[in-house]
Amino acid sequence: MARFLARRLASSVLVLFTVSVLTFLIFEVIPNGNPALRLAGRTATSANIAAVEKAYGFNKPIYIQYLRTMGQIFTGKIVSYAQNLNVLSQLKQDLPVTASLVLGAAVLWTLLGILFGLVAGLNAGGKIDTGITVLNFVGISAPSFVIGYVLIYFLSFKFHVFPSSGYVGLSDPLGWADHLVMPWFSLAILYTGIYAQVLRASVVDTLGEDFVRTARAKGLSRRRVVIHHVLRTSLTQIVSLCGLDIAAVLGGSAIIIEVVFNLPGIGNYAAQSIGALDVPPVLVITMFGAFAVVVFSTIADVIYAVLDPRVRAGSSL
Amino acid sequence: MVAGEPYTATSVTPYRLALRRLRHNYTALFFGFLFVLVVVICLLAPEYARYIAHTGPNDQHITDVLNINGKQVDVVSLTGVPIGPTWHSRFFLGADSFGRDLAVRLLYGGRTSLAIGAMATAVTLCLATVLGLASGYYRGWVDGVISRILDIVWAYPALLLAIAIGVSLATGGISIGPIVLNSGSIFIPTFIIGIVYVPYVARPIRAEVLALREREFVEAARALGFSNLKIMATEILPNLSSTIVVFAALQLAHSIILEAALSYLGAGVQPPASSWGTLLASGTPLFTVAPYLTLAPATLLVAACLGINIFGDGLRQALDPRGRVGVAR
Repeated sequence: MARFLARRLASSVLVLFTVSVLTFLIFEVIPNGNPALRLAGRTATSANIAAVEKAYGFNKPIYIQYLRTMGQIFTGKIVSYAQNLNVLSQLKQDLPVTASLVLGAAVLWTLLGILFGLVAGLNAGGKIDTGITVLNFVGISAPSFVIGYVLIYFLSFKFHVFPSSGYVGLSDPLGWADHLVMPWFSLAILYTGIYAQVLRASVVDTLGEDFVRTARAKGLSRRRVVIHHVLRTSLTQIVSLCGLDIAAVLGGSAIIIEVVFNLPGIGNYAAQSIGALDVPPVLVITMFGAFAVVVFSTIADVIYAVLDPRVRAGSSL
Repeated sequence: MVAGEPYTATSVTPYRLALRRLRHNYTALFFGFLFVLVVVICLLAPEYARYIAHTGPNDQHITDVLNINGKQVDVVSLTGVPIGPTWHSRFFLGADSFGRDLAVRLLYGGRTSLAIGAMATAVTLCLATVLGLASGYYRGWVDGVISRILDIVWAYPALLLAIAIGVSLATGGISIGPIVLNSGSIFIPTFIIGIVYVPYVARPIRAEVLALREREFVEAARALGFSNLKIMATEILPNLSSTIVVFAALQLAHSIILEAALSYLGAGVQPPASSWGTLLASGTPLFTVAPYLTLAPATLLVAACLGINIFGDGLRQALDPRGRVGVAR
């Protein structure tokens, strides 16, 4: 296990380094991307621009600029070009919003996915199964922001059930949940469909295993067999998926949903910064997202190994 | 793959068998037909524009007045609200805020979305097959390098990567040697989408190749003195074909959805060109006054993706040698 973790650590450092270099380069090759032009203001003379370039070090070679920026990130002094605010403190302020959104949605999609997958798998081949399967595919085929707008239209605009935008802190738990119900569902529907399909296939496979027949034959109730034998076996896949998907959502769908519902989270910050070609926040957020992917996939692998004795014994990690 | 050889009727190839299974999966066939239907009506966009709607996708009719059932109606009202669905030949689904015919734009947009989806899928599958084959077959340092590259693409937040590249290229275009792409080119979102999904396909292919290369027929080919390239092309690649076919269907849906997301954030297809994504992006701000501007592209997009997704799932079941006939295995 220690060797596995050490190898993972080394590989994640490499991944993070490459991601940061790539992001830096992408913004370096942008035409008209010179941040000095915007920093110096609209009526700047060429002398002003040159002064800004000197102050920020834009006239230095690119690797020096890169090292400087990375130094600022790790000492916590990184400042955005557009608003001249500290990026890390902004990120700290936005993190609870994004965490509430993503973790809440993850709980929702895991529970719903298990429920639908189990019901469909136990009724495999029947009408309920076909119905749930088609429903799952509708969820998989609809972009999350479209679901978001449909929810806003019906639940906020037509019938005033939930507020259409904004965020309330956790100090007001009811208001917090009230504002997040629709974003949670918009984000969760896709993964509910995927998890239900994965679990359904796994349940169908497990139901045909010998140990399930043995459990039934020795007189255990159907409920006990389903929960303790079938579900336990099938859940390992869901657990490893969950870690990866939380990370994927952090750097993906969460951005769009935060924009749709106007939630002041990291995704919204990223979208605004990219629109303004503001490199420091984009760099930090991209690295944060890549870091999340690396960390969550490592956690998922470890949990998978703990839950599934076959993986542990085979030491295939 | 023995096309053209005089096989007797008693022998059934795996693909014949899969086709036989698929033929009895009516759910999959129905949704496959739904997808084909969407593709066909999108392909007929120029004919629809010319003979039925009598307007092009970018023609503006802000000041036009329509005669509907004897009543005079502005295409775009004085308060700026565009006309809703007329269910007549002109403005069948209504107009957008520039007075452009929504149905015409929807069909032309569908062509763009489907084209981007198809080309991005081709990019993903080609790259993923080559990388997966090479790393699974050669193993060693080749595998190490390719796997690390895949790790990096995979860990890079997909949407952030796509937006970052999309915005940076969309503002200025790009020129690499002889290849020059304008900022409005649809090849920019196509390549971004194609590359983002490579690890998702390359990893399963690599795993399959790792298993295939140990099989007896590969050993036999090696004993016969086949070169590595020939073994990969004639022994291993045909065995990957069912995986690739299934991924083709899946990726088509994924790519179309990612195109919509990118265009919604302004990093995909650039106006005035239309795609389902740009139509959604321009429709959503008017969602409360003109919901059909969002619902129409959303419906067509979901119909296309639903069709190809469920058909792809049926295809997967049909190609699975352990598979039995029916929706549920």
